Amino acid sequence: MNIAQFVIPLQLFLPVIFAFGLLLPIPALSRRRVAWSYSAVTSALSFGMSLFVASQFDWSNPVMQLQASFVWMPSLGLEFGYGVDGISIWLVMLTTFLMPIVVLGSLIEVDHDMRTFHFWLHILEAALIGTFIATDVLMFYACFEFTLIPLFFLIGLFGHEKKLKAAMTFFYYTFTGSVLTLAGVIYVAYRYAEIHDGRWSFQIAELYTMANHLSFTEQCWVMLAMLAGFAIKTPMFPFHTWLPLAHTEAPTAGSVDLAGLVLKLGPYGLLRLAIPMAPAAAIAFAPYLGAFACVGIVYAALVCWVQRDAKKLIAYSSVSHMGFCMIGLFAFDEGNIGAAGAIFYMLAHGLATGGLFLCVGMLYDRFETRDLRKLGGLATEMPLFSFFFVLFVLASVGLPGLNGFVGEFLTMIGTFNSPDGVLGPVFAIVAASGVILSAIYLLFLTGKLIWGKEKHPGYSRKYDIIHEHGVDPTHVHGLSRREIATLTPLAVMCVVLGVFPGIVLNSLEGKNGPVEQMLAQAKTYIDYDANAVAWEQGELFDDDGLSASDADQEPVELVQQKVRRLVESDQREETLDLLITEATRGNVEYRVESSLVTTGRRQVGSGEDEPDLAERNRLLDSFVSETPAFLSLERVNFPKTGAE
Amino acid sequence: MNLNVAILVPLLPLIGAALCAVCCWKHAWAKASYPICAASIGLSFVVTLLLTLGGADGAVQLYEWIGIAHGTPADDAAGAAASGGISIAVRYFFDPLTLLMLFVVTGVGSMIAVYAGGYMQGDEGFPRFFAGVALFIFAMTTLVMADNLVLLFLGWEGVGLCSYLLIGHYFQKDYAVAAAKKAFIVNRVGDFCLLIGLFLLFDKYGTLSLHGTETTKGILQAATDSLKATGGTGSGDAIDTWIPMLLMAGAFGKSAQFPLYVWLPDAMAGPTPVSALVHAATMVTSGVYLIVRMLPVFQLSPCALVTVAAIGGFTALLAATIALCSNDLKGVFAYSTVSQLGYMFVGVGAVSSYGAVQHLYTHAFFKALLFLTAGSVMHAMAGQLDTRKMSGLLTRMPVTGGLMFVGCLALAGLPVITAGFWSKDMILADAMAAGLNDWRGYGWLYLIIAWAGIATALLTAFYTFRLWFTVFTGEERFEMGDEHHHEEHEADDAHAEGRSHGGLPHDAPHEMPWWPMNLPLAVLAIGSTVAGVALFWGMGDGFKNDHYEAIALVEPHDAHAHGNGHADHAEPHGKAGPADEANGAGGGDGYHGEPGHHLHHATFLGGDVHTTMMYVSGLLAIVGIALAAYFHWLNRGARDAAAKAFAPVVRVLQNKYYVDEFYDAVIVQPLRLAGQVFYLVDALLIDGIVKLIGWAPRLLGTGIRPAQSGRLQGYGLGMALGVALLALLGLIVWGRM
Repeated sequence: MNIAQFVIPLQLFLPVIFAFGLLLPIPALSRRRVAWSYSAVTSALSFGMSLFVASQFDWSNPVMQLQASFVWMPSLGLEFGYGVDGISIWLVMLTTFLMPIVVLGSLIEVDHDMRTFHFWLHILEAALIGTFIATDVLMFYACFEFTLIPLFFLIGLFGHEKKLKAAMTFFYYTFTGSVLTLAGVIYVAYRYAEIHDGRWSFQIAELYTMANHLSFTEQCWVMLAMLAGFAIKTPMFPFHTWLPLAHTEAPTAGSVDLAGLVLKLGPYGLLRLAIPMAPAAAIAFAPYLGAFACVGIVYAALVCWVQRDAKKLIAYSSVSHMGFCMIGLFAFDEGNIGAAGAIFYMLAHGLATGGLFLCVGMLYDRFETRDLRKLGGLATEMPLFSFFFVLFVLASVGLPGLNGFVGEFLTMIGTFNSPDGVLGPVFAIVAASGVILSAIYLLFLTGKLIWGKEKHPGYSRKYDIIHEHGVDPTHVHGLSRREIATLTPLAVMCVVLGVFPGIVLNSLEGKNGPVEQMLAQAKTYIDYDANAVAWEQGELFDDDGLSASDADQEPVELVQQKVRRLVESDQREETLDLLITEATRGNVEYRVESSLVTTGRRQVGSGEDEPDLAERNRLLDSFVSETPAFLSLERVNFPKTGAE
Repeated sequence: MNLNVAILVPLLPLIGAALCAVCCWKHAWAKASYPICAASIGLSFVVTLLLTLGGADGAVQLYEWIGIAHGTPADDAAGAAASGGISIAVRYFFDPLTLLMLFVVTGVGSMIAVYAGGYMQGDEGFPRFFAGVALFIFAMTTLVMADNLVLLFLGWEGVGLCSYLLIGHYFQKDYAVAAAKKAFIVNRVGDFCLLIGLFLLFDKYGTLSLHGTETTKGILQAATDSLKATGGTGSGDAIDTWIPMLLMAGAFGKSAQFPLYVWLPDAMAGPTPVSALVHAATMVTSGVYLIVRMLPVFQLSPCALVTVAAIGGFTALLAATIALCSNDLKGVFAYSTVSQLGYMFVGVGAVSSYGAVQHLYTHAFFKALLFLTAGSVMHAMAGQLDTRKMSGLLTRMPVTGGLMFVGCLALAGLPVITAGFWSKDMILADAMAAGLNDWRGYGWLYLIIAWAGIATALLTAFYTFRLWFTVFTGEERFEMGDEHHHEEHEADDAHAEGRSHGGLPHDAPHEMPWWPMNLPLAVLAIGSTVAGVALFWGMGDGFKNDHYEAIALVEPHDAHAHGNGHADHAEPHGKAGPADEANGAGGGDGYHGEPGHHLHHATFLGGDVHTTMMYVSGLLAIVGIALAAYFHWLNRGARDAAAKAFAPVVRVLQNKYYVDEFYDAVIVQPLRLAGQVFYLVDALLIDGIVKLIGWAPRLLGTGIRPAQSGRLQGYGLGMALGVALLALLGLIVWGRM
């Protein structure tokens, strides 16, 4: 009995169980303080659980692990699979880490239905975890979509003035996008079934193999469909207009979860699904996406500068900051510096922006306003608050030594080193101007709120009542103990990740690392872009995928390069797929010490134009299971170019 | 000596900063922050001294800071870089230059910290101030010790942050907040360029490490190698010019050079010890340090160094003219800092990095002294900074007046006895020599720069003593400022200060106490005299050798034809005894006697350039002081008449050439307008399109709602039409197949 198998589902179901605990007919739970305490404890337990997951995780080889799947409808290939790798485990930890903080931070703001609030909060947590741990697209999509429901209620029930409008806009906008994503996913699965004699599969790893079978046109459509959902979620300029409204109107908890976690679903989805499934299209789209991201960085930063509402300013800053994430993801530089930086940036942004939203929430608790014209000089009355606020601002600005810098620096240097035709120095330079602009608008915000002459419209009655009732009477330098407990973990993590980013980066790097696994396929197409004429004309594949007749147009060196990359990144199935196909065309020869095959050429390609599909599958199964040593380059022979 | 001790240099101030921050927690602890801060910086200075005496040389690596490996696990940093990854370590490097910088930073830093204890008495943000100062020393020492550019950038941004926090120390004053913000943002413009320079360096060299490790080559080594390959004229690659240009822009931001100098005068809104430490002695010189450190990279480009020199010379002159008419006590010194930094860049640009660092060193002493004495005056005058409202203070503040006099002499460059004379002279002479040698074909430009520097020397002597004579001579007259150091007087009655102004009413200027204020100033004053520069000559040998090695790479080719080749440049100065005496007409630093050193040798006005330049600049200093004495001490009527005669010029100068207004109109306002426009576009256009798409289904619904009328005929018709349509479609599709 392996406990490792049950660690992940437990992580997923723990918040659900806790959520339903709130529905139990226990009258005490209706009291706000009790419900709040319950939620604080349970969300902390979830975080403890994720620490346990981390302890079970094999950090020396951070590929997909702790995985298993439950079969649901085998005939349709429907099953629920889960697992974590070096990327997703950090996002799971970020989720569970932010949740107790969010709970702690929203005691005052939520003045009704505390139970409902925390129910939806837990459900949101579960949905987010579900998305990050999914190893099949259906579970991914189900959880991805399901995040909308708790958020809809959190915004719609507990938000500010325009909460209903915000909830509706958010729901419609992101839902519309993700429906298209579903269409894209289903199309890939459909093509998979077509190729595999009607055997359906929704496993992400299985669908990755489709990258070799989808034509370029198909890949473009798949990419567009996925972008519809993920670019809106990220949000990428110009699909960002739902965000300022939703962030501003949401309760603090909602804003923190939106900015810190929900936005991360976009880049995560692109990295996990879109790029590996449509690698050629990812390369082709990269310059355009990079351009939009760069415009977004500058545009949103300038918009930030003229905001009057502190929360809206921070909301727009997310649009600007996530631009860095996008350019990093689509940099495709050789060492994956950009993509690793983008993942780090997701964590960094979640912590810093989360902290800023919590700070603004605390101001709203006190003064019931976020208007920069009505507030000012808070350093006098709330020095400790000011300390935290300035720290989060500096983390957002990208001050070296704090977490924001590492992500910013890595994404930019990755973008700068991006291969020709993908991204490049120009993108990095435009993005780097965000360094100036973020200083401008965030110091503008700090100058208005923290420095200057003290100015505020007086403490709100709600705040007084809570203090009179003795819920939280202790004030330390302008913050209550609860508030200190809310902000301190975030501040500590901002510093720790800034000083020791290796904690995270070590699990992302490497030729066998999780990031390389996502990007390896796409990177094989970079050279096509630079070399092949066929690629320029978009005729690399015909609509039936990579067929034998097309191969003649493909330069042999490119094929060989592709094989090398696959072998080096230890992608067995893909390698074998490619080897068999290419062996039939005489581009490679390979030799396998196996009972089944002596030379792949003779076995598979003997006199037939197309490899026999069943035979291929049989070979594949046996190779993958029997010959772990098969994948070394010595066993693959490349005939000299032109020798054939 | 174990080099690991060196970690203490940045670590002690960091711990000090953390403890000072803790002192903010309770009012009772606040007082403890001063000794903590001063002690941590002082100890850091002691460690620096130990390192200097021990001749520290080499690197200490703590851990890998930002690393993305992309090879097999066995690969080291070199492998990581080769395969497209990146590896940036927290790694400190020690060579003579670093030790010199550390000496200045921690030495001058500890003096200023001691002084600040007296100056900041009774301030509300007492512990906050010292936390900032200690953190600053941490960042600054990191900057000069960093062995890679990213760690250097950490220090670079760190000092920027501390500068922001310390300028904004009096955060309730709007001008202080605005000045802090301006400083940070203008610096960020420079940092933006610096970052891009870093990217280019990484692109070209595949690493950001400066000195490399045992197995890998750092940037400096690689650049030196390619310089050796290309020869003295440098390479013609565009990237080799872009890199220094971008690094230069970063340096100009931090070191307040044109066009990014505008933040420094405003930065005087911070407490005066901050102005002395951050904005005169240390932080603003980090740009000079950067270029000196990266010299091989700059030497690769034929036009980079001359650009550095040209902008330095231009800024020196520009700032000096503005300082001529400023009536702000600290403002004059601020512009003089900008001007003196300009000199340093002239030095770097004329490949006289030894001269530049020497000036950096002496300037740190005398400018810190000037600012702190200005702080004493300001302190005594309850915050008064307007020099028109003070006169004849010498009788009331004799010690301060005397100390400031020493500082002013050094800034003016009075011959022989002051430190400023020696360092300034070397820069001017080297610039002139580069011009006369027509180095790399930019001789004409170097000549202009050198003459601008000479003109600036005259202006400097004049405006410096204009200030001193105005404040300390003439009839006694003062108008107190509006800041009251209430607590201080109560707290200090027991101290020496109580005696010094014992009988005086609190609203009259009084002398500062010896401890903790005037004593550190006396130390700085000694450093401002020839004793200070002699100390530098004693310490600077190692750096001088490095400097000669670097210079030998870019000397004019004919230099090699002469009897003395490269080897002589590397020859330590101290061993060159006889030759030194034979050639060393200028005496003093002995630099002139360096045999075979052609780039910095030429004949100027009939003598060796260094000798002649000494007479010229010494004479100008005396003339400047004399003129100032006449106009501002002996015959103030003539001053007023002159001011009236040149009223339009004075107005332009007092408005600082309207540069701030120009930037506001050309950069700030358009950007802000763009923000407004984008916000409108966002709300109306982009969101509008989204709304339009959102309305489409609703409109469609409204359009077809009448069809749902409930009348059977209508449905029948619809059905028939539908079937017909489907049939048509079917025909088309099947027809094709």
